[in-house]
Amino acid sequence: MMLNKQLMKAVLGHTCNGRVIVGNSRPHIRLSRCLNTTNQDSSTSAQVKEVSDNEPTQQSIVRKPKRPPFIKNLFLGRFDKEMLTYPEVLDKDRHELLHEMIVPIERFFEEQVDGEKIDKEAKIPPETLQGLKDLGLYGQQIPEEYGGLGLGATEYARIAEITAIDGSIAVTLAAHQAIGLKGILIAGTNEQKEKYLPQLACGEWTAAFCLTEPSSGSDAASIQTRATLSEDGTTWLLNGSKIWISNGGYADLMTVFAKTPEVLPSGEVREKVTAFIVERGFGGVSSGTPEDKMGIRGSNTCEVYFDNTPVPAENVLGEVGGGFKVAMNILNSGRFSMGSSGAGILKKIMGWALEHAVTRKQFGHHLSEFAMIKEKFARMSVAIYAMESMAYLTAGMIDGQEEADCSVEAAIVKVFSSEAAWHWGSECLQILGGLGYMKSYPFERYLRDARILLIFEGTNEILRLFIALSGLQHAGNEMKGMIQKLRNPLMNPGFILGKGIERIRQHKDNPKLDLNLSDSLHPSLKAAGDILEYCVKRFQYSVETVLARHGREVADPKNQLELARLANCAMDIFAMTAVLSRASRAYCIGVRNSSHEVQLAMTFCDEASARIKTMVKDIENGPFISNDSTYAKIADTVIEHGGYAAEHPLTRVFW
Amino acid sequence: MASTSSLLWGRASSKFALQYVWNVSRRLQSPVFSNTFQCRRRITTTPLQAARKEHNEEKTSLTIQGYFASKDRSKETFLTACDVFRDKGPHLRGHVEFIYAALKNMEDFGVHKDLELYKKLLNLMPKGKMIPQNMFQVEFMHYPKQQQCAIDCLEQMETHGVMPDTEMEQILLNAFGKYSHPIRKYGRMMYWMPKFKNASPWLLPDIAPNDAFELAKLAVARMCTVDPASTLSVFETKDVEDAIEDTWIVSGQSLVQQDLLNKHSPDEPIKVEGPFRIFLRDKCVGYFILRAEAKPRPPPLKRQEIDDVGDLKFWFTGEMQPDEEVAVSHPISVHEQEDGTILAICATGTSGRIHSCLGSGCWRIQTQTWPTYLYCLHKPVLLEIS
Repeated sequence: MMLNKQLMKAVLGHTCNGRVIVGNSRPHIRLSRCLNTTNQDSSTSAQVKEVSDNEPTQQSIVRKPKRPPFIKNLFLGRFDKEMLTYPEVLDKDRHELLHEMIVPIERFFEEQVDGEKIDKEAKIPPETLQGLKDLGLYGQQIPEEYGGLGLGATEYARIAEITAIDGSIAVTLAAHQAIGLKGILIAGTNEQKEKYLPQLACGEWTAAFCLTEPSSGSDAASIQTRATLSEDGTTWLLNGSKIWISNGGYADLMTVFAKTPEVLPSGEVREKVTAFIVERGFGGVSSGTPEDKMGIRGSNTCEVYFDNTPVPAENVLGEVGGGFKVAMNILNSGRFSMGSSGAGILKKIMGWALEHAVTRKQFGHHLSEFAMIKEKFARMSVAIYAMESMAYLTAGMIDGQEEADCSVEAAIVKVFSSEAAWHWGSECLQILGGLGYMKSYPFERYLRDARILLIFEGTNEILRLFIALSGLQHAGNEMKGMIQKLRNPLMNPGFILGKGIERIRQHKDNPKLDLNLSDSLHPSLKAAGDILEYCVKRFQYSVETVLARHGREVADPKNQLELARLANCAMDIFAMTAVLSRASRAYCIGVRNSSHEVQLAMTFCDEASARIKTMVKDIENGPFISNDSTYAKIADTVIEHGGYAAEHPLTRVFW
Repeated sequence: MASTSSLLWGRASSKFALQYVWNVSRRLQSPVFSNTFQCRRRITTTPLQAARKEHNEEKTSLTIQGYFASKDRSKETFLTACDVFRDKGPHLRGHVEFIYAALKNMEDFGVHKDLELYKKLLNLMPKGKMIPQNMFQVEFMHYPKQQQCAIDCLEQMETHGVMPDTEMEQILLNAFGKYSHPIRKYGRMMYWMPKFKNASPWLLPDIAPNDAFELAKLAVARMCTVDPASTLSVFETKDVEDAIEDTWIVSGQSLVQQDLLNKHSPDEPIKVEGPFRIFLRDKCVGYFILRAEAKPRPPPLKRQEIDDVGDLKFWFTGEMQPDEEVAVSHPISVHEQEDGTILAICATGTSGRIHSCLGSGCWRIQTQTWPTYLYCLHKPVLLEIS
């Protein structure tokens, strides 16, 4: 096969180079192993390729494999080695089409988008918006039959990388299609799709997503907006107000969540969330003045009020009373693209910072010669590499799997990349020093824009809980029996003794490695593969420990620090998996600078494993050794005092 | 002796110093030594008992008592008395008697919490003469009467919670020198008193205000610290119809309590109880509580239930219904105690009198007035009494 030939070339070339991480005394063995691995690894993608070669019109829809959720299974200590094969979901046609599509979009953003002006005037000019519509960017994921581009997650993520170059535009687009109209795509009926999608796809209509209310932010189930069914049962009357609605000032169509009464067989009335498609034209919809924000200033954010807005019964999205699930599905599916957009911004501003570093001279040296500056660029590259790898791995999972359950992965991508974008954006600014702080440079604007990434679509704190609790819920069902025994050691001495042997290895920080993960990677990445395996094992141990320690009370507010640690571990393991599979693929097929990629991946794995090691140790040690309890006490004192409780250093008790 | 010498000849390490204090205090307790030193101090007695000192009265001669015979009992006259004594002559005879008499009269003059006056008194002691010059003088309590007088003065300060300062140290050093009992007493006071001074989490002014209204506000604010979301509001009864008299009401209620009150079933009575007492330093405030009967607490999760980690439910797995088991449990607020749910507290300008008029115990809020009460959550509770 072509692929294999390419592979051989890459590997041979690499052996000659001699820049190998594993000893190069047995090139033949390595070669054969590598080939083996790739054959096995690329089984899925090869299959897809063949199918699309033979019958390009039918795509691979029928052949999509169904896979278990990756991160959730990780909580059980199960590792899906298929993840170490970096997905190649785009066939040749789509790949080329995507890259043809990118050119005009890139040009448009370079030439016709004035980010500084948008930020200053807090408004995206209508001609810019029209340009975006003309490029088809308002209907990226809407199927072609409804006039959209019909892009998959991977293509969408790639385009998000470019549109992210202006935060305001990215948010406007995301509010429109990642959440605003996503409900129709996910849960809409055919009639609803036919009625609304064409207008939304061409940008004639803009969509918005109305969930947040003054009294309910992260806690979506507590919304106060009410909808009551009219006597004849044909119309719902919507009452309430929503805040911070992106595109809220001019959206023509809104996905609105409201509580509707549900009568139980017992005659009891309960209130459940229902999703509605609301046109502005229904009447009774009004918007407040646009909010003045720190960043993404060009995007339109305002309050939206519903005053007896009549909504026809056929505009209920999904089932009556099933709105909560719709909301969660929309939010879960909208997050994955934040990784690629974050990476897109960072790559861009890192380039500018680098330009400065190589031209600016201080103390007779260019900034780029100083180790502290170089380290920033290096670490930044590692972070970007991880962001990108995770984002496209997740997108590949969504595209390449049947009914992919990627909610946790998407949340991980969002948390990791939002934090990296904020931190490394700030470091880029730091490289320019005082210049970076000036408004005449774009760094401060990007930094302000990036700040919202940590907050919206679920704050990072909430998402960390989501990551940990989703995993624990998944693991809990299976580990139920074991946890019960672990929590009652005296009643189950036999089990505890048996478990003890495994535990002794874990206590010594030396888990048994039997997953053979490095077999699925290029041999030069063996060391990193082993580290990954160690992390997977340690993670499983920490999940067990946390569940055994808290039982059902694991979700109590007081136990959040341990959940956050579990979430951080899961994030790092997912990132390690992503960078390793990407680097392995790159090295095998001989992508340009692939040895650089291997270095990026190895470095990331090394540091991530160190982080995981500490976090697992902290979990194992419990709150008293890990300082959690001390921090809780400090916070209690502060809360009791209504603020910083230490006396001013200048305070005198006596004279 | 060994410890004494170490104090005198070398710079005593703190360990030695402690050891020395311990030795001395043991000796002071034993009857033999107390006779020798004429020590009146009883270390085991409480400060209050120690401060009684009736025995000093006999020693106060009539002439000395005359200094404090002024009708005008104020700080100025007290200061004048001290000045008159100081300026009387170069010999400064009888200053021990004068200081004892002054100490006794301080409370009368209302200056017993005034550090300045204590300094003034101790500063009357002659300087230099009483400083021990050798280790024997140190060990055998040089000028015992004078030292004891200074110690008693410090003791009275301690009783009244007056903390000395470094100027006081200087005064004592000038009179008795470094190796003297008053200085040791001073050292102990300076170790403990700053710590005690700031030990209470509720900051109060050194002297609690005399104004009942200010006191009431302080008291209600202090009790409201159980819930950081509490707000304190002041009402004038004249703003409320049916008010029986014109006074103020300081009320404290938190958002949680308002919420609890909102949810309270109108069929169940709410009681106003009180007055209870709360002390702010030496002053007392009576307050009332608005109390509902305690709700039965949800039974704690059984062991088997906690152990069962299958089928966990969280906020994102679907909407929780009130009766459904919630993994993120809604905690019981601090206001819901086992003996009742406290819905508000208040103190009034005439709380004592209302109390005496109506007798103790609790009063039922009439069901008719209940909706009015519910309507303005912060309405003074006392006026709702039937």
